[in-house]
Amino acid sequence: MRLIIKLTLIYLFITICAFLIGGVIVYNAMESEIDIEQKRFLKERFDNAKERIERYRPTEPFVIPKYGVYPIDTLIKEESISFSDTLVMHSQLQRLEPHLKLTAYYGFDTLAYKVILYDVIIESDDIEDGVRSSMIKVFALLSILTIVVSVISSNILLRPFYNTLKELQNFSLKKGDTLNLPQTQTKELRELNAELFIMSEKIIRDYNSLKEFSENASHELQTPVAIARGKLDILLERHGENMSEEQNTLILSAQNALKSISKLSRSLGLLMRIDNKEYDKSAEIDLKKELINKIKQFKELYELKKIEVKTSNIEECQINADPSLIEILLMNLFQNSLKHNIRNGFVKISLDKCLLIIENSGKEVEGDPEILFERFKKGDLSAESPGLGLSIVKKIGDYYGFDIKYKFDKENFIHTISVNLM
Amino acid sequence: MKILVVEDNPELADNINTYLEKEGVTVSIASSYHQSIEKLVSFEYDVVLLDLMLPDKEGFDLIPYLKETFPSTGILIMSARDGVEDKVKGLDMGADDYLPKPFNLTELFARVRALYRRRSLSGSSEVKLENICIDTDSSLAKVDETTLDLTGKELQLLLFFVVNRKKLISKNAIAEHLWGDYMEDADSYDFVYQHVKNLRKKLKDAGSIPEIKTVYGLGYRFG
Repeated sequence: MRLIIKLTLIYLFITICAFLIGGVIVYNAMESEIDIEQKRFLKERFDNAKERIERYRPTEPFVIPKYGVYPIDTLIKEESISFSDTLVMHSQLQRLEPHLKLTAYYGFDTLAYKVILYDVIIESDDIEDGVRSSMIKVFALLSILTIVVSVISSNILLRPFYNTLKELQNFSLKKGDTLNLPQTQTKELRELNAELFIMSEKIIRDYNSLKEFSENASHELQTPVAIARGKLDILLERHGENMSEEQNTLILSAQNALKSISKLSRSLGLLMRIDNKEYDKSAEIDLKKELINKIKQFKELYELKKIEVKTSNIEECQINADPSLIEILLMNLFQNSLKHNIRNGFVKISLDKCLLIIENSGKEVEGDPEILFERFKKGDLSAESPGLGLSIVKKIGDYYGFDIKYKFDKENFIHTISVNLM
Repeated sequence: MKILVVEDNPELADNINTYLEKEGVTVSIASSYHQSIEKLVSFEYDVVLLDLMLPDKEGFDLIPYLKETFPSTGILIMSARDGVEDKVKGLDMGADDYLPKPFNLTELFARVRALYRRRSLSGSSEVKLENICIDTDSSLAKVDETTLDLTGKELQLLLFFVVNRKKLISKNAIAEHLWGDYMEDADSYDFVYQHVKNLRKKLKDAGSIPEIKTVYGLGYRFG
């Protein structure tokens, strides 16, 4: 729900409360005011009546609508006035209506009178109706005005905020752009923009230094490895034949270890670069073509291991992705099917409706197949590779939203990896 | 052959120097962009081995200068940054080849030789060793007048042997040369062994004078 709608609703809720309480106050005020006024009015009429009585000194009761003077015998020293409510037939409406009744006992000289005056009172219901209807009308007017004003003002007041939001949505670290926030006169938004700007600058700085560090780390690592490998090459070349077999073996294992280090750092570098979203070149890739190329490229390697290659249903599939990532993805899948295969085994490749399935024979995998996608987890602990191949596949899959599944058929020892490239 | 090694790491430069000098290659070393310009204006080189990260400038900056002033000099980039972009950028700018660090010195030499052949010995695409002659254009290898019936990989292997003649070539280096980084398990040694075995037989049948000798536990030596 939009902020302005929430604010408007809160405002309207508060207004309703205020109107309810206000209605009660208005009602009470009006009621007491009317009451006072009516009594004052009846008293004025009573004063008029007194003047008339003193002038005409009636001996018979005199009654006209809303007016009654009754001579009485009792001697009255003090005048007394009391008010009461009563129902009297309304002459025009022809129905009983509540009236305010003034009853006064009054005497002068030796005469005494009872005076009764009526007047139609304004009923509580009527006041309530009046208050209610006026409150509702005012509230409706206020609501309409509030909504209209809030819609208009939100467009004006909150525009800088929406601009900031849009800028944030379009902000991309990897494009290397700085946050370009709009100028605004609103204090809070100005502060928000200033904070966001400082934060973005810091993030950009951190990101760049991290990127630089990871690139440099890879570089700094490769150079000493290159030096060490070169030294060992030269050592073998010059003295290899004069050294004992044990010495030679030591040198060879050192070389292999160095090779693993550089591969490992390269793979980690790759994972980091994917994480940093540095691969955003997008090109139309003919996956069928790429797949056939890969099969060709690996054909000899499969043959050398006496692995039978079966292809079925290689159909057209066009995807949009970074060509080097797709190359790495395919490379890792093929390498996997070769590396974890057995002699005289098979590999079966199919690409149907952009669903790439690579099945291969192999050794049993211990534990949950899902963990093979995690870094440094491998099915065969004796294998030389560090176990990053599938996590790279997974990472690339996640990057493009490909659905990647791994299955192991325990009865026939068949590994199946399926990648849905849609 | 004269080559300039532009590499700021003295030990790596020294390795290359030590390895290549024995081949009769004259090696000069420059450790910065400015030092390489100084060397380039004074001498002429057949191949420049270029590191991308130099203390004063990027290695890339040297490529346009080289292309303009010495168009016949071959450029081989050797970089620790194996980013695809770097590779593409370097080749786009006019470099001839790209070799990621770390590399086998045998591999480096094979690449330098191939580059030298393509660039300097224009016209002649033949590599000879005693009675073996490989025409890299037509991908044909002959022993005397007998054309060898070699697979693509075997021809590649023979060329690698011929270029690195008399040197100890480890199985590792061969595996990397033939299959790049695709192979990482022990299988690759079996594959190397099979290829070497087939090639050795074919060479022997054709009466080749140089032969592939096995250096037990280490690799092979050709010559």
